[in-house]
Amino acid sequence: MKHAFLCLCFLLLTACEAQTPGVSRPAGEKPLFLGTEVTDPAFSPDFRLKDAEGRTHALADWHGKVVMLFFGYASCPDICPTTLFRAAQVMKLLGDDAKRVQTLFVTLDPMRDTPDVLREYTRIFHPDFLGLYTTQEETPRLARAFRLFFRINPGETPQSYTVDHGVNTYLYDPGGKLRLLIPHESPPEALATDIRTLLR
Amino acid sequence: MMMQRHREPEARQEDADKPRPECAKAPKRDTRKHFALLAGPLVFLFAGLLACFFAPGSAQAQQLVVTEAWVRATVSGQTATGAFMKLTAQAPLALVAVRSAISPRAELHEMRHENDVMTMRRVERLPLKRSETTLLAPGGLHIMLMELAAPLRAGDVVELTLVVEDENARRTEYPLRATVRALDAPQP
Ligand SMILES: [Cu+2]
Repeated sequence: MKHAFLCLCFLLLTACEAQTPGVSRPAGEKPLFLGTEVTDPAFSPDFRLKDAEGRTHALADWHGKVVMLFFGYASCPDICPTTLFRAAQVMKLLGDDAKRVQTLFVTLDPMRDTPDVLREYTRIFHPDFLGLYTTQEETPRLARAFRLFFRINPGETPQSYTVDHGVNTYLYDPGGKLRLLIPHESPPEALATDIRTLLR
Repeated sequence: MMMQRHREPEARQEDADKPRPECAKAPKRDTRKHFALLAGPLVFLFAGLLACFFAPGSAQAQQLVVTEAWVRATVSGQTATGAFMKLTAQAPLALVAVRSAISPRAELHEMRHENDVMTMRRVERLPLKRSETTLLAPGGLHIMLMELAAPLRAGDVVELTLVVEDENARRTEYPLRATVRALDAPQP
């Protein structure tokens, strides 16, 4: 009896070891990402947003490409510029693969980020980056669809409010499915690696 | 190295993308010239240093030293940006207000980044401990320049005034110059 128990323990242990991540995986198993994988199949928001030229865009516009999307506002003193700067570094790291990536900067502040501001702001970081917006009324609903924290803090004057917001980057695979959430502190190399995996 | 002689705006613009240590108050021009003629660049630098500490108009020694002040550039139509610097107090002080001719609304703000959310709040009063350096830097405390009328281009020089209160609630104003750095410049 005692013997049988020890045997069972041994079996369980070896079974556990085989499951340890990092140990060589059988071919065909899903790839390992550095970012956080989206596991909820219902969480893959599409959108209808305008660019600075007034054209309406949806995810289907970039079918076959990885879409790298994040939210922010031009008056943001540093998190937003660093996110855009990192995205530009990712494009550089990707080399030829960068042609198969579309970066989208979605403003949470359409009142101050007019189409002209949005166009110039995004292009400073990379000529292919696209700034997108929707109406002020629609913006909170958009944030909810992305499960994104979003709050406007009124200032002393109508123009001096600030915006609190989530800073994750959203990565969609070439089929238009939301696959990964990338935290603000992830280095550009990690993003480039995950994008290459999604492009494969 | 904490300080360096005050530079002319034209010279500052040449290497605008490098943070430049500078003192909060401009040294007296003719003192500088006088020393420069006498003993060359080394004394010139020293005179600048002295002038920083004993700026004209202030009876007591400089109580606040500001270094590496810079402002992030903006695009046309953008109405707000951040100013960053290092503050070292020589006595217990508090930063209570900021003024700038380019912004009718300059406020001290604190940014926090927690649980993948970025929040920004106004700070009414920032205590500055004696002999400690307080960083106004990306990701934390910054001066928010709002309601900007014109874009700020890399290499521009922005004049700011810090209003500082000492332990006896006496207020002193510290004018300073901050260099505008490119919007897409990497974080220093
Ligand atoms: Cu701020």
